[in-house]
Amino acid sequence: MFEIYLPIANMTVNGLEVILLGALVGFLAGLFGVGGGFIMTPALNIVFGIPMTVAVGSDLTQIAATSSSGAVAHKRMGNVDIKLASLILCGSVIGVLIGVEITKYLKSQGMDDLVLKEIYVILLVIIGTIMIVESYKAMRRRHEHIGIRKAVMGLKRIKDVHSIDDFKRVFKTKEEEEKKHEFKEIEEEDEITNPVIKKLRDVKFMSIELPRAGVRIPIFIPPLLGLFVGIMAGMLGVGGGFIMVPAMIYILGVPTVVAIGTDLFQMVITSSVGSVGHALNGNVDIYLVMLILAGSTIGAQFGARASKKLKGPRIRLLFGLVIAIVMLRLLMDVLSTMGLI
Amino acid sequence: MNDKMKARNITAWVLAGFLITAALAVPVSAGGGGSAPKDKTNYFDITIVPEKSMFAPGDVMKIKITVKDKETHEPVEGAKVTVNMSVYQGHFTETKEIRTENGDGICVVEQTTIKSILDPILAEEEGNGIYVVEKDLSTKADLGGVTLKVTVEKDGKVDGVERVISFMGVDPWVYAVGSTLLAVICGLGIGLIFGGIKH
Repeated sequence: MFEIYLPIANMTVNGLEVILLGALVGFLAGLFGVGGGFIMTPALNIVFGIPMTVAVGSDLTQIAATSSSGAVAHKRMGNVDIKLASLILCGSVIGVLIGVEITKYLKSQGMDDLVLKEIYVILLVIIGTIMIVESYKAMRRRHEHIGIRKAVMGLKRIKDVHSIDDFKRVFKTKEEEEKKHEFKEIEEEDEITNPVIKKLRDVKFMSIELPRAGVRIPIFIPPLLGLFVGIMAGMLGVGGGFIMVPAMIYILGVPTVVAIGTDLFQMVITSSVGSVGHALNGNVDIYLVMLILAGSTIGAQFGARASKKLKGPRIRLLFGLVIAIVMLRLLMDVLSTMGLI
Repeated sequence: MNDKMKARNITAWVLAGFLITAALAVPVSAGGGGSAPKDKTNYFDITIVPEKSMFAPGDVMKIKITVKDKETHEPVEGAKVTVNMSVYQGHFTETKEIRTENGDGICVVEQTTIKSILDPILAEEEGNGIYVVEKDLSTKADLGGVTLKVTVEKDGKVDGVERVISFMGVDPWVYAVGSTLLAVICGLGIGLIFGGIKH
């Protein structure tokens, strides 16, 4: 029952299981505010044995759907900088086509599964490590705070606290420290400044004013970022928001909500171009796309609702562990293919 | 710790347990341990290059297979290269007239064929480690895939790789643009209904 034949992948899958996987990844995407492509593509390969190239192509088509859905909402809220998105697109459209061509070459050489899995292992190690380290640090800060609160109640003595004045001093310092490192919510509109942003703003050569984003940046930076993210999207079937959004915030100094809205907007076109390229190479299974989309749509709605209640660092740490498990599973496949285990 | 915080922590841990169990268990339960590496070869590097990225039903499918020695990277000549094909036939029903022994009855047979496995084809050697195979792509499906299992045999050494090549009855550009547009329209619809998937 629910068996569906995927004509392009040339295999039978249980449709309900694919929808469930889509729902689970969609839930995570909604919960953590990520696109989820970096989990979906390897998961399709690991769970159902779908060839990596078909998983990449179909996931990219699915990203075209989810990003257009998100872009609609952000455009309505005025969070899209069209000028910035157009500049990014100059690079990302070329990048995604390069990515598609690389995948095509790897497929002809019979190296697609192995190489794409190797790149995914590296990518997941980076994402998983950042997530685990960030959440571990946040948990430590929270524990220190709890330690101080316990000391007030006489449950625990802490170093250098001998009087109530000592305690007030330590407590104030710790509280300020915690506020400084607090997990940033996307609603936050604080202007982020760092030496890179300052240096880029000082560059007068070929700079362009972006009124919606409220920044002035050299014209060649967004296409370069787009080129890199486009290649990743074409090769790996990821939206690349986990690179593009922090880059826009911490390198270009774009406000967080505008960065998210602009990224989603450019991703609609980038992923659509990539989807057409992959479909022409026989990597897009429209049945698979529709099944994943059905699941991820439902899952993302629940994930978004759950994110209002579950924001703790512990849950981020556990997501990091889930990424680590997926990475280890891929690593085992890679080592097995190379004959090392 | 107040009750609200307790409840929130319990929910977080239950969810965590669910996520980790799903990440660990699903690959094991589905297909007996996930995807098995298909292209592990021991003696030969085998490259499969189809004439076109996408074939149409009824096309003559021409495939070039290059075989090189894994250690020396020299072209392998005089090998026996066989190709096993399975073609997606689509879901369809057929009505057949079958005379019974008495000769006075007609049976209507409905059948659904998903995949048909063709007889192995021996590839022709072109020299310099290149082998070519040609086959009519006769299928009743408009859209599907052909699974090729290429086996190379020489001096008792045997290696094989598997590849899926797609075919479609419609113009590939129509399929490519159509499927992408369909996905985007679905996404826009979801965006208008739910106010956008949260990213």
